[in-house]
Amino acid sequence: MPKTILVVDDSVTMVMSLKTSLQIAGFTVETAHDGQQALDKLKTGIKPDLIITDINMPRMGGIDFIRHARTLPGMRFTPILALTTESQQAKRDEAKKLGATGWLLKPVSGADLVKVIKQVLPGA
Amino acid sequence: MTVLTEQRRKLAEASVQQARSLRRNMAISTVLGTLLLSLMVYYTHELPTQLSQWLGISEAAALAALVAIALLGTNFLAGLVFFRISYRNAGSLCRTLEELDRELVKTETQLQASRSAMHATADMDQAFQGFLQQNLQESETSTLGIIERTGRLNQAAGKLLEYLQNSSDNASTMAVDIQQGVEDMNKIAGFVRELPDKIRQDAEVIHHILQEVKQLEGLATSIKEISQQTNLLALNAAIEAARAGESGRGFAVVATEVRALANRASTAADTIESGLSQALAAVESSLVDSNLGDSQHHLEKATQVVDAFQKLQNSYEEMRQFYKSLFSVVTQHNTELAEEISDMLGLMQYQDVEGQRLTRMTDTLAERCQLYADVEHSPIGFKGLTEDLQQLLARYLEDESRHSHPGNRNKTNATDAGPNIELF
Repeated sequence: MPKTILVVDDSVTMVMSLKTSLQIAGFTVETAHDGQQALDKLKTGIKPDLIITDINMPRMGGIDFIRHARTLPGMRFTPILALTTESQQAKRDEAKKLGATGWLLKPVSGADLVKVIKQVLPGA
Repeated sequence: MTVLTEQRRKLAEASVQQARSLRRNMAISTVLGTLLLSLMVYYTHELPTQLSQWLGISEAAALAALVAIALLGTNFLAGLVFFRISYRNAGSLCRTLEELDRELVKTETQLQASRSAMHATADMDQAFQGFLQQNLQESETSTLGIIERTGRLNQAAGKLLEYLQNSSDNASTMAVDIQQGVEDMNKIAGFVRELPDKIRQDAEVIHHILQEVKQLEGLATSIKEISQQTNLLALNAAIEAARAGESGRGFAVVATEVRALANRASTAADTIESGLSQALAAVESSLVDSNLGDSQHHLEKATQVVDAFQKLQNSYEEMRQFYKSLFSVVTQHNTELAEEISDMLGLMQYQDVEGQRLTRMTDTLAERCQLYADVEHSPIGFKGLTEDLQQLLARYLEDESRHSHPGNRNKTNATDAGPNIELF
C-alpha cells in the first residue's frame, strides 16, 4: 500500500514538480494550493501519512496551517515538513513549537527530499 | 503652473505696470507743465516788466528768470510725483523679487531633496539590479542543470538501448540452442513413444518361436519313444525269429533292419533334440544378445537424453541468468533515470524561488511609485521622500535577507540562513 503525501504550495510549478517527483518515488500524492484548502481536505477525510507545506501562502500560511492541522483528530503525530524559501530563525522556532517535523529550504533535490521522507516516514 | 512661473509672471506684470505708470505720469506731467506754463504766462505777462523794474534788470532777463523758475518748479513737482510713484512701484517690484527669491530658495531645497531622492532611488535600483542579476544567474544555473540532466537521461537511455540490443542478440543465440534441444527432445520422445510397441512385437515373435520350438521338441520325444518301442519290437522279433530257426532267418534280418532303423530313428531324434536344444540355446542366446544390443541402444539413447536434458538445463539456466541480469540492469537504469528525473524536477523549484523574489521586487517598486505619487500632494514635497525611500530599501533588503538564496549558500555568510535541511 503506497504512502500518501499531501503537498501544500501556492506555486503551481512547485506542486507539479513535487507531485511528479514523489509519484516516481512510489508515493500517492494529494495537493492543495493554500493552508485553508489543505485544512478543508483534511476535514473531509483525507488521511495523509505525511504533509509537505510551504510557509508563505495566501489565505492561510504554513504556520497557521500547522497550528490548525495539529488540532484535528488523527493528525497529532502525522509528520509535517515545511518546504520554503523563508529562512528566518524565528519562523523556524515557531513552526517547531507548533509541531512541525522539519524545515527544508528551497530548492531541495529529489534525492534529498526522498531521503528526508524515508527518515521521518519509516517503511516508506 | 509652478510657483516659479507665477512669480516670474508677477515680476513681469510689475515691470509692465511700472512702465505704464511712468508713461502715464510722463504724459500727465507734460500736459500739466504745459498748462501751468500757459496759465502762468497768461496771468503773469506783466510780471517780467514789473520784475525788471523791481530788480533793475532788463525785461528779457526777468522773463528768462521767470521761465527758468517756472520750469524748475514744474520739474521739481514732476520729479517729486515721479519719485513717489516710482518708489511705490519699486516696492511692489522688490516684494515680487523677494517672493521670487524665496521661491528660488525653496526650489533649490526641493532640488537638493530630489537629488538626494534620486540617489536613494539609484541605491534601490542597484539593489534590484543585484537581485535581478542573481535571478538571472540562478535561472541560468537551473537551465544548465536541466540540460545536463537531460543529456544524462539521453545517455542512460542510449546505454539501455545498446544493452537491450546485445541482449537481443544473445537471446537469439540461446533460442537456437534451445530449438536444437527441443528437436532432440522430440526425437527422443518419438523413440520413447514407439518403444513399448517394439518391445511387445519382439516379445510376441520370441514367444511364437519358442512355442514352435517346444512343439518340435515334443515331436522329437515322440519319435524317440516310437524308435524305442520299435527297437523293443525288433528285439522281440529277433528273439521270435531265432526261436523259429531257419524259417525265421529272413524275419530276423528284417528285425535286425527294423532295429537298425529304430536305432537310426532314435539317433535322428537325439540329433533333432540336440539340434532343437542348440537352436533354442541359439535363440535364447540371440535373445540375450538382442537384449544386450537393445540395452546398448537404449543406453546410448538414454545418454543422449541426459545430454539433451543437460543442454536444455544449461540453456534454461543461461536464459534465467540472462533475464535476471537483464532485469537487474533495467532496474538499475530505471532507478538512475528516476533519480535524474527527480533531480531535474527539483531544479524546477528555482522557478518558485525566483518568482517569489520578483514578486517582492515588484511590490517594492509599486510602493516606490506610490511614494512618488504622494510627493505631488505632500506639503513638504521632496523633503521626506529620501527618508521614505531609504526606509523602503531597508525593509526590502531585510525581507530579502529572510528568504533563502540558493546562489549564496556556498558563501561565508551561508550559515546565517540556518541549515538547508533541519529535522526537529
